[in-house]
Amino acid sequence: MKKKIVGFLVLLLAGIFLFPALFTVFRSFTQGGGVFGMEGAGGLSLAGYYDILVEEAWYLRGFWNSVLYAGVITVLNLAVCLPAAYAFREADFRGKGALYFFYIVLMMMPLQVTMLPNYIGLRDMHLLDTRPALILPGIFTPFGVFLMAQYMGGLDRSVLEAARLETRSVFKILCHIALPQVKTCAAALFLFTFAENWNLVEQPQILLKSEQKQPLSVLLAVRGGGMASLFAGCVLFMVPVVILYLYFHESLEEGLGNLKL
Amino acid sequence: MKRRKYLNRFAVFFSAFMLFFTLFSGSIHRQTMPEVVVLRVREREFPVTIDLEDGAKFITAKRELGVPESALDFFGMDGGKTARAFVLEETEGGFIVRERFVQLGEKADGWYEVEDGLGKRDQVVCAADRELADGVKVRVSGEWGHVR
Repeated sequence: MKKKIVGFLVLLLAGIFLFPALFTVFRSFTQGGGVFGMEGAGGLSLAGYYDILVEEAWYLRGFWNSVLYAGVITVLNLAVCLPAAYAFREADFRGKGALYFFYIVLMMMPLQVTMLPNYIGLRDMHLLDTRPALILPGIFTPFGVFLMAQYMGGLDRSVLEAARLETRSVFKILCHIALPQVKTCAAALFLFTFAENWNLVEQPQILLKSEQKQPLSVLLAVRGGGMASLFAGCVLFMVPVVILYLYFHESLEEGLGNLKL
Repeated sequence: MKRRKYLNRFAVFFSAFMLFFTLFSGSIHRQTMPEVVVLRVREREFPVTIDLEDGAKFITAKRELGVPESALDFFGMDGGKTARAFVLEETEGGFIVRERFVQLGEKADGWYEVEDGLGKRDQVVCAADRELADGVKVRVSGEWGHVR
């Protein structure tokens, strides 16, 4: 009996969490009035999808802007975080502890605190309202370094020692020995970083002026249009992240499960 | 394994779907060129105030070149006496816009007196469906309709 109640509650919670996503999908196919778009003339229709894919250019432009920003930031972020985390774990240098502590403090800072120095730096480099203005600050995030450094605590020491006897190249050891051991965590970090940068809102609104360069996450909020096209836009906007989650969710669970905090 | 195969297919299908509409729907091509509404700079009457010796004021008018406020961008300019405007230029490949910095004088009825920066035959952009930049190709959708 207790099991049934727990099962019912879990189902209820799952339903509550799923409702907004299901409502968005359903509403994208209706064009009438009312909450569900079924009142009056219209009913079920693909007009919303037609509007955003054929009639309006802003949607596709914003979509590819989002792909560009999220893709480039995620790949470059991984390329920076992996060696930095490896250095924190394996290299011995003065001030390492203090630097790592500083990284953790920086990670705790809210976005609004780091936004002002970022803005001033980008303004002085004459990069405001350019694509690098959004990409550069996204590459160097302390969270990825922290996550990877914690996970690298579990690296097999004996294999690393053996590799050091074979080669003096840190890059080779990182690529051939360390990376295969941390690939689940790297996949989890990939997913986190992509999802975070897919949903950028504050940064583009502050750092970019022209609409041509805005990602879809901002355009969906600021562009007007019918309810059907707005919901259709949201549905297509969800798809890449859902695909990536389905690809990497096992790595995500495994990677975070083995994390030693 | 089977689920991964379906997922791969779906990912490829979704990418192809978005690429297809981007390349062939025509919406992006249609809007690649900004659409602008223009107006030829024209003479207008602007008030001139003359202070008389006994403290009275004598107000008269002068005819000078004028430009509507909607054609001017004051963002980042000093004191409202200088503004940026875009002037239409006809080339062999169609129309382009050129950025000009305009020195302004008096203001009357939503029009600014042009002191420098624009000539009598210049056509200024009064409205555009997106942000413009110097040298951008544009499509002229018509002449500004609310000329007073």
